Amino acid sequence: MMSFYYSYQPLIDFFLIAVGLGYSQQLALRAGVFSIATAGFSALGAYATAILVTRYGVPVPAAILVSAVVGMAVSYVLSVPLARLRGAFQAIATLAFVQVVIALLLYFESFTGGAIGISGIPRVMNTGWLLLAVLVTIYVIWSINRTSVGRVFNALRQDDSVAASLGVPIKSYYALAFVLSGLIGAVFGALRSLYVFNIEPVDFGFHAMVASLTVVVLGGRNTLLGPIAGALIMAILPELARPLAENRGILNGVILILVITFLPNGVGDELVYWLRRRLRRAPKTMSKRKEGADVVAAD
Amino acid sequence: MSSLRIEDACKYFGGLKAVDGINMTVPAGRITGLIGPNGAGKSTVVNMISGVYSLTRGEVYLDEQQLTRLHVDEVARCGIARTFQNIRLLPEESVLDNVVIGYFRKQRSGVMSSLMGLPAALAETRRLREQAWELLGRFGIQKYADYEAGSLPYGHQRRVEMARSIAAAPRVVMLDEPVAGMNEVESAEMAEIFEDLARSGMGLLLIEHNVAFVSRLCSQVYVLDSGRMIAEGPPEAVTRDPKVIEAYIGGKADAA
Amino acid sequence: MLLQQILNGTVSGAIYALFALGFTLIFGVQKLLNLAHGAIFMAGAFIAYYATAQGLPFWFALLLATIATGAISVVVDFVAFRQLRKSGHAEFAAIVTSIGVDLILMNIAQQVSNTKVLSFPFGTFPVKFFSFWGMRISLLQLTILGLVLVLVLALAYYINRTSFGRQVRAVSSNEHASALLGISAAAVYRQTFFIAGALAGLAGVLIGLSFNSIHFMMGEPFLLQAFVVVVIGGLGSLQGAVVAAILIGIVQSLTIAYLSSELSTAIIFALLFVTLLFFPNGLFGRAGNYAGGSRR
Repeated sequence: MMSFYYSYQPLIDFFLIAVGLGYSQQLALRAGVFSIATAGFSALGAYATAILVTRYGVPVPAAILVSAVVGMAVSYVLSVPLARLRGAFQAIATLAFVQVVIALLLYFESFTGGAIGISGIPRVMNTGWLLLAVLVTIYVIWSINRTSVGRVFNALRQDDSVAASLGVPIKSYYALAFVLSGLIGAVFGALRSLYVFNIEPVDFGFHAMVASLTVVVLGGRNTLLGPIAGALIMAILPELARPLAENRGILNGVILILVITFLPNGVGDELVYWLRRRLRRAPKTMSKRKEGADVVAAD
Repeated sequence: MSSLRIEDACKYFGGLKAVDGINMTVPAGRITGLIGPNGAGKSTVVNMISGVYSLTRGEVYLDEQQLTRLHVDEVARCGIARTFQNIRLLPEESVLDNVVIGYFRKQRSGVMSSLMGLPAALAETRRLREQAWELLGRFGIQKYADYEAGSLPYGHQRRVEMARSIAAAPRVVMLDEPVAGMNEVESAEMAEIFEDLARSGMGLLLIEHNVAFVSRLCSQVYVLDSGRMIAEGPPEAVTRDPKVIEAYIGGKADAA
Repeated sequence: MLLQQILNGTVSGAIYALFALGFTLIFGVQKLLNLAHGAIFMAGAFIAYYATAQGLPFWFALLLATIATGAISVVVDFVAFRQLRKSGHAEFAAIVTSIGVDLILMNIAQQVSNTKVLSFPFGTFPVKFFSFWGMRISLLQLTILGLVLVLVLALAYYINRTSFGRQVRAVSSNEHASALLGISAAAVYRQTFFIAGALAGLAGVLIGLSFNSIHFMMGEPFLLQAFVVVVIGGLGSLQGAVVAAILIGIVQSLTIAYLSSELSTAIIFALLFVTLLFFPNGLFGRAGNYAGGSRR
């Protein structure tokens, strides 16, 4: 067991970070906010912590706290224009947000280190802390799932005019989902910066955006298991496919297409739904649920 | 006792006068009917009251409170509930959860206690699920509680939607074609529930094609045709009104 | 200097227009974002490069790249979109599958080029300059402007004046109803994807030639740029895309010249954000925006 841990430790740590960022991405989608802003939030969190710790000698816990506040503040401000858009337009707006963040990180060179980024960040994170952060995140989302906020998020995703007709102040709840997404994204960005020694803007570009989206698409957009399953696939796949290392992009691409086409809810969600169906006592007259076809997070 | 009133309400879509200067009162503890041929503007009236459409002219009041310019969710929080003509459930949620979300307005535990999973919030969820379970029993669909709402037959989906709309004990509920597609026996079951609700003090507005069903239940009936109120009064009087007969025979003969 | 920058911006904008036209055409017809469009653009540059490297004349390489990318685009539709259209609600799924195709195409290009930056051999296109009113314009720039003008006019004619245009409009407004009218939606999708891909591939060749730099990630900034162009022009609007593309080209050229290239990116994406906020339908678009919970 311990030898397994030592040989795979970096893999496990990156898996945990991917799970955290996956939850940030999932929270938005799950509430029907078509956001791909997670990469931008994690960039803000990572830079806030890195700058505070390396330049100003701020203690690590305080720096993480500041990152969390920055993540929430920026996502709250961003939620206002986002509430006026929907679907593809939200995706484009959040994509633009990520691009602006990266461009500004490059521009304010004296502050952010420009393209070279920031190095010499103390490496204080380890598997234990990362695991703790993931567990706290899971606890919060598990709580959401079992209480009023979770019910509202599910309603927003499926039909926000119904939610409004039941008295839900839908803009506030959209904002809540987005702020939680920003908070989690920024915190895991901060944790990541405290793990990797140095950060640079390219770490948070198009690829980071695709990565956290991939985790949620592969795993699932609605259940707690989703991001875990997705991050697990993303962690294990390159190991299994070592001989194909040169063609990892092709492999990832093919898997994305196959999963979304044939398991549109993602591996983790499909598993959870399947278990639920098994556990249900089924009268024979009932029609089976329609497979996946009309189940989508966006609308 | 509270009542919902709309005064001189108009809704124009461009040049089309969908609803043109109508007055209507839905008193508490009574069942009021709104009938009229297809395309008369009945659902438009529901959308005007519930805040989906802005009024071109006129006002909506609940007692002395003006609802005219409130948003959909604010109107709902004032205690006005509705169903939709084309049934809108949350298709992925279970039947039970579809009703539980209906209690939103009555919830006491806050967002923070939900995020932290505090015992109060969890206990509230348990309590609401029990209440929803009982409400499903009242609508005769308890055995489907665990099923995905989208998989139920049409008539049962209507019942789920009605259960959801009255879950939070609204002061007025607007039911858009509540017995469409139901047979005599099922309609009678629904009628019984509606009368119970009225006795409990709720004001009901039934929007219907089915004149016979409305006549049996309602104390007051309004007849809408081409966006204008052509008759109002007790059902016996209204159904004998020549203008009403003309509207129904001239339009689609749904007055079965 | 100022005029020179505006001229250079206009030429870049004309190329952006080619790229964005295809992107917005696909969105206009099926309301889906095709994130593989950048990779198709890149493929155009690659095909033309390897064709000229084989000794083929440049005009032939250009034609070959255009047709080949059109074909690739049709394959992309088949692989990434066709299956999703059947299931409806494809908005999210299409973003994911097209990212999948994007990854595959980029990986292939990376392998083929060994991750190197390629460039057309010197003299692939005659280097010649004309001067007027104190400005310099190269033969290449003139050719690009002329080519783009012709293509945009041809596309406008095709969409607005031919039966294909009517079919496109019918399918984009209601696929089922148009099927009843005997319009084959599949054929319309094939054609739009072919046109979109061919335009992107052509843009790829022209960019590869103007900047003399071809590499497997070259599509990414142009894809992001295309988002800005189509949002400002109005998603789905062709004339909007052309005007917005040239506008963005000029803004970019001026901000890079007088400020900095990083700030230029920030300004352009901020412009996108402001447009979404105040003109959610763009300057020409008719796509519906949405504000939930308020009275209509």
